[in-house]
Amino acid sequence: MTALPSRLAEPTRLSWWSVGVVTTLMAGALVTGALLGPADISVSAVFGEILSRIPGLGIESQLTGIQQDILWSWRFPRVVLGMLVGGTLALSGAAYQGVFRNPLADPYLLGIAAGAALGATLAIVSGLPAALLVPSAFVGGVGAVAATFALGRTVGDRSATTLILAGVAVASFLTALTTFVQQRNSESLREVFAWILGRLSTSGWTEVALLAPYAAVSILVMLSYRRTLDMLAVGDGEAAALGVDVNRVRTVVVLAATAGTAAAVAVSGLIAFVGIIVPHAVRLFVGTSYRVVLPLSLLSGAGFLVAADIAARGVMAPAELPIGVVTSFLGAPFFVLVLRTSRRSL
Amino acid sequence: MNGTVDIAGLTARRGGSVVVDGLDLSLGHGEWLGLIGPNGAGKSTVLEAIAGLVDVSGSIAVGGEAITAMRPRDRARRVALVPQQPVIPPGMSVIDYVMLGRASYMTRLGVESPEDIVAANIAISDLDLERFATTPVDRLSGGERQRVVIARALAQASPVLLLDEPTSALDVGVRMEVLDHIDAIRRSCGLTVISAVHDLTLAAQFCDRLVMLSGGSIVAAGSAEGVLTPDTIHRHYGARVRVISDDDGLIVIPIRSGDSREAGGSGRMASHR
Repeated sequence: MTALPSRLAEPTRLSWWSVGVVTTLMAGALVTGALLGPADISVSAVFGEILSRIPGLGIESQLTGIQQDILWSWRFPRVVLGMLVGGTLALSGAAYQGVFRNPLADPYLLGIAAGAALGATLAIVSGLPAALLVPSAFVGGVGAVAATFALGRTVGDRSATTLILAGVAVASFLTALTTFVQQRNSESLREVFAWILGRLSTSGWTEVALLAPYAAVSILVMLSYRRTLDMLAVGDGEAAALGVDVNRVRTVVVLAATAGTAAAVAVSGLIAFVGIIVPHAVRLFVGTSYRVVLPLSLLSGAGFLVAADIAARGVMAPAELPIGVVTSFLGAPFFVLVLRTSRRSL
Repeated sequence: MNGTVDIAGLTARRGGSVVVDGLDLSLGHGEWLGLIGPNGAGKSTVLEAIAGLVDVSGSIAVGGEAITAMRPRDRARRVALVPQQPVIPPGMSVIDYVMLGRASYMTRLGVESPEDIVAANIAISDLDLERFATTPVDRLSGGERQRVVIARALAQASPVLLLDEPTSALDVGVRMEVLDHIDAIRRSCGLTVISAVHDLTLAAQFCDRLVMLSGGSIVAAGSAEGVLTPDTIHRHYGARVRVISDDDGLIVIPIRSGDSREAGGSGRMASHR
């Protein structure tokens, strides 16, 4: 008894090769995203332009002023926004799945995105300053997740399906409210409608600057709690008996995920299913431990949304599809797949 | 850490009704106490109350320290629970699952130290699970899985181990193997064990002392010979039993009552006559 084994088994850790593979894929999507567009700019010219901005290297850009403007005012902000939105939504989805112990949890399906959309819509039609857009979306998102959770519990059945059905009900109600607010404010309808379908189109760095601080805090908090999400996997009672302060972990992670979701929705509208597709795809390759799934979902989500944006720009070129249409087109069948594979636990 | 347990006036409610009513109980360090009693007697609730999972009135002390108002992580260092139906997260490996037992020693963000990894590996080794260390728990057999859950509890390094029907889903061979493991570890590590047990023969063979609960109160307490009498069992379980005591210990054998034999199996009984 109490003999130390000759070779210690190590707990699951994030491996460098998995980070390397995902980062390479993400970088591929970023470069492709930066190259895509009516103006023909080569890969070497893009890299030359980036390197020319680094002081001390002495490299000169081969691009004209207009080409530089296209890159820095349109393409770079767009791929960076795609990275931030995609990474945040995928990470939030994985965090909600952990905290609710529910494979179907997703910012969109839990009604959180709809709550954030209502908050942001109210901010837009009320003419609130841009700085209050994300806080309004956050209040809407927190209200929605609280309503979904409370509704799911009052039914008495705490299954995964009940929570999702509650989320669908809350999302429908909030979407109806959002539509009502839009109709009452027809002068801003066009603006809101374009945004609600999900978009990454941006001019300059305004949206990136609006999202980045919230996304950074949200991502940092969620990643730092990745290990405790594994502890919640055994259920509230067992986790508490193991010494986990379940309510604290749940509150902090839900608030962080909702802040990230709200900020992403506030700048890019409703982009559905990223929080389902990405974490489940990651699990297929690296297993179920949240200490691995969370960081890889962040990186994969960033690459995924930039790739989806490439598709949105390319399918009907020169016209653009709203990116939310692309993610829903991919996500709906994926959701059915997840539902089928996880039906035993529902 | 000292594993004495002192419970006084413990009352617990579920759904508005009292399920444990004014329970007093004391255990010495290293003792194995068996909680027996019919379904709904309050056995699991007593264990969950000690683990801090149900709201209670009264006092519970481990090693002389009151644990009812302790933070979860402080209590988890004193009391480890093996639940009746543990949740096994899909795909979680044995080492990751056993590491959960170290949660109360990790930082609040769950960062483990080298000592945590060593403690989890020792618990895995103690339960003969080394070859499964990286295997997902949900791919193991029932007996192996139960040993993993016990390893997680041992990794907590708490002086008190609570077992809620630890072997009820296992066949008789695996059941004896798991209980023998627990007994060996109890003796070598000086653990105090409180277990809810359905099988009265196993309770008699493994526990130092038995407490029979019925309706949330203690109705009999003491040695197996004193508690497991045919009259006491019939009064509280409503079952007829034969109790045999020999060199192998005390054995409780259920006997089908004459009435039910007549009603359910008269044809077969008649053919044997």
